[in-house]
Amino acid sequence: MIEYALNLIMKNGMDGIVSNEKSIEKQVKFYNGKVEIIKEWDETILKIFMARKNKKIFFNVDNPTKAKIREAIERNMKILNIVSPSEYHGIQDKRNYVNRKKFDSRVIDSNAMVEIAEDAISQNAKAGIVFSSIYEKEIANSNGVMEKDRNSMIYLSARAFYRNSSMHDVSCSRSVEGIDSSIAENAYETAKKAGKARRIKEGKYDVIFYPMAFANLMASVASFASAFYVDAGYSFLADKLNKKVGSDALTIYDDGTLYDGIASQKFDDEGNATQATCIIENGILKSYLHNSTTASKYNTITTGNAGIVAPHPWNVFVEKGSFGIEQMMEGFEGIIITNVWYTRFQNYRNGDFSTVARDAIFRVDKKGMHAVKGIRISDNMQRILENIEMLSKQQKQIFWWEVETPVFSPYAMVKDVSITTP
Amino acid sequence: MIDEDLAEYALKISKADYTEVRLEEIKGNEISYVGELKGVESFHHCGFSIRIIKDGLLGFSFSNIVNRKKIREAVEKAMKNRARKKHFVRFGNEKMEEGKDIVKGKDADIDEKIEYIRELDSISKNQKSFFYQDEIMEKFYMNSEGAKIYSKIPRVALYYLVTKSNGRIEQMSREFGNAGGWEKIKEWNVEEKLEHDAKFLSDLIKKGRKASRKGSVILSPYITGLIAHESCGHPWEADRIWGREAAQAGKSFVKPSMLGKKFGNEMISVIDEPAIKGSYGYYKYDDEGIKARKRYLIKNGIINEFLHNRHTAHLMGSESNAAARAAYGREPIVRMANTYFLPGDYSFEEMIEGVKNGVYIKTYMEWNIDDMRYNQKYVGEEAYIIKDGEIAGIAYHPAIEFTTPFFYRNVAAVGKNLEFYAATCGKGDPMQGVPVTTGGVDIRIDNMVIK
Repeated sequence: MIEYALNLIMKNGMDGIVSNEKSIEKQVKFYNGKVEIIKEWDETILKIFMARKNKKIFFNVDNPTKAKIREAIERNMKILNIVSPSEYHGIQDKRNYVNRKKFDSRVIDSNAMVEIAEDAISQNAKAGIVFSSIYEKEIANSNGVMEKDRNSMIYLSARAFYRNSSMHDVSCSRSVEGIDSSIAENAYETAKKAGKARRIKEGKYDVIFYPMAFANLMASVASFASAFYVDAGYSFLADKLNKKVGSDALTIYDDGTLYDGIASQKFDDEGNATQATCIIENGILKSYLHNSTTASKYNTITTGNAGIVAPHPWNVFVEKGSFGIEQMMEGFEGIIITNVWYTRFQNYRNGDFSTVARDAIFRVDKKGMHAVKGIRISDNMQRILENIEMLSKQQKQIFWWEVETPVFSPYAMVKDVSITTP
Repeated sequence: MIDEDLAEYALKISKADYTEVRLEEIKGNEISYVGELKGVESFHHCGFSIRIIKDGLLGFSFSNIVNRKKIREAVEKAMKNRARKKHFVRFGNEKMEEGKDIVKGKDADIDEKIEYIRELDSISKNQKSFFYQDEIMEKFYMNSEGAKIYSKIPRVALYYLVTKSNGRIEQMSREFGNAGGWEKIKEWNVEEKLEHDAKFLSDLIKKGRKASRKGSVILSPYITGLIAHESCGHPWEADRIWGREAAQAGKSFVKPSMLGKKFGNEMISVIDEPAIKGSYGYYKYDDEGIKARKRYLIKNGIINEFLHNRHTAHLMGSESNAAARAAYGREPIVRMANTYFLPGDYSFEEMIEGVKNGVYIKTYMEWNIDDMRYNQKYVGEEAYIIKDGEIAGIAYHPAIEFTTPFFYRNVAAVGKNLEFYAATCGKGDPMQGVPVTTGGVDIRIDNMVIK
């Protein structure tokens, strides 16, 4: 089907990219300690990009047949004739494919998913989901690329409550075996420790971020590395290539080839090979994320992160540090934040933002440790990056409702974080 | 083209206790423009969703392969799902509707749309980015209890971000949207807004100064609309109250026992009303076949009713008030539509009169709220210092953080100027963005800490 579509496009003198994706997604949702719904999505979508000189258009054909493809291409050729010129420098050709990622078709076994959910419930998870997908994708483009790929992913998101306190954790993998439902029991134990939360004064505190919390911030940083968002005014990383934007401790990659990265893909939406791209190395901004169009504009080569219009990260990988979490806790005074949400920016270009700390939060001082409630981080993203003092050698893959790009995140200790309260 | 016979077929073959089927077709265009045209995407999706209840367990199935074979498979799959530790889902006895809801709207050539954005981009030399979307959503809904509804609703929306650099960098963003067609863009006055924002950002950089630490705060409809949505609409969603969203969109500080209890100042009433013609959040029938009606969430300071679908209504001994909405291919869940404060008596002049020290916050960029919808923050973008009853300069990003009860108990004045703003509300898992409007009036709160 993709060959048919591509031939039709090329016969009409155009560049083209055609991909066909078949996916099955499933979800088991539970709350108040019981399963309520099992959902399934079954889709086949053909996506077509075509360009003539500097005019281009992108469209889809659901559940494609040859007749539907021909009709859609002819209709969109007419649109292409009247559409205004736009930025287009051709499709770059990058075929050093790496395909070492795990695949497990059993992730969409409904019985296995229900079993994971019920296992988590039996370990005191009150609410959560098990979500999984497999998809097969083939792609062809006018450079001669003709590739196939298949992917699997599954994750358990579980939240536990103890009286008025809570703790949330996730387990993410490309295979059923990679899911660890004991996160539920650990979350419950942490929630138990967080009873009787108190309010604290606004001010600067040293903060230890759990992976759930740190991943939220790092997902923002990685999306700000998209060259499209840099150009569109949505990034504090604009004009800072090869400049210091974080502490020496911080190295961040985007990596679409990770063995167990749940968003790993063999190729991007242009058919180019995904890769590991160093975004920040020892605090220095090394690269933006590119598709062919943004790469040509920046006079470089694509990093295999297309998005036809906007490049985006696949799996964000924050390099581990050398500290055990116990070492990080030794003599620590400050706040432990296990999760955050609603990270919102006052100004994307300078990085001023706030985010709400949620679930278990602890204050540690000379007198000991107690739970805290009602705080948010109101700070600047670059200042947070610059103040990273320690990263743990433990690392965890995070993906859930609030972190929509998977992040392999360590625990992080950040100095002088601005904390505000109502 | 939707084939209504397929829906009849699904109901005929299903052996479930309850079955509903939704056939959908959505088509439209997206345009990205950043200094130049970056992308044009034309989309056209068709699919069907089936939701059943069998032995108390809900099953949901979607496919974009629309034929009898797939419908049969979907029904069979939904029937097979089993769990030991399960809820027993039941619906109430709401009146099922048969009807049509067709909204008309004009279309334009893609190049006319691009040209419109190009002209907006030329308004000032500031960096700007535009994201435009139009769509026509066609649905046919049937369920095994007799509901039968056809709807066709076009929508059009535009979002922009403008950035001003002059020693400092400042930004403003706005979103516009309506149910309707291309003709709606004339109502938005985007040109005026862009000219205003460009000038304001220059003034903010040159003249902005910190406001006093404590005083009265007058919040414009742009912000109070968001407050109505975030701190009243969301916590009034009965599925959150019941804990169904506890691991995703969050819980609620509101408890079922608070129904009928005093919550705020009696000047405050908050309404959610789906069937406002032309509004971005418009619908006449919800996605469970119930006819929409106006819902008083807070009436004169009293908690009056929650937002319900049929399941939560049954759990809480109530009736659905037509709050079940589903994005394309998703499960229907409890959602808002057009949420607004009922206007009061105050003109702006009356509201500002007598304010010794304070700020007037017209627009925001940063905001957030915790998952119980209790602790929230808003940071002013366009904001002014108030001194002795008059505007006395530009306030530099005044920030306010407060709890929801603090806000509703401390309202000192409610304006008569109701305005609606388009927004996209995110909830559900996988995420379902649905069009809504946030409706606000000027509201004054005294003795607020300003940061």
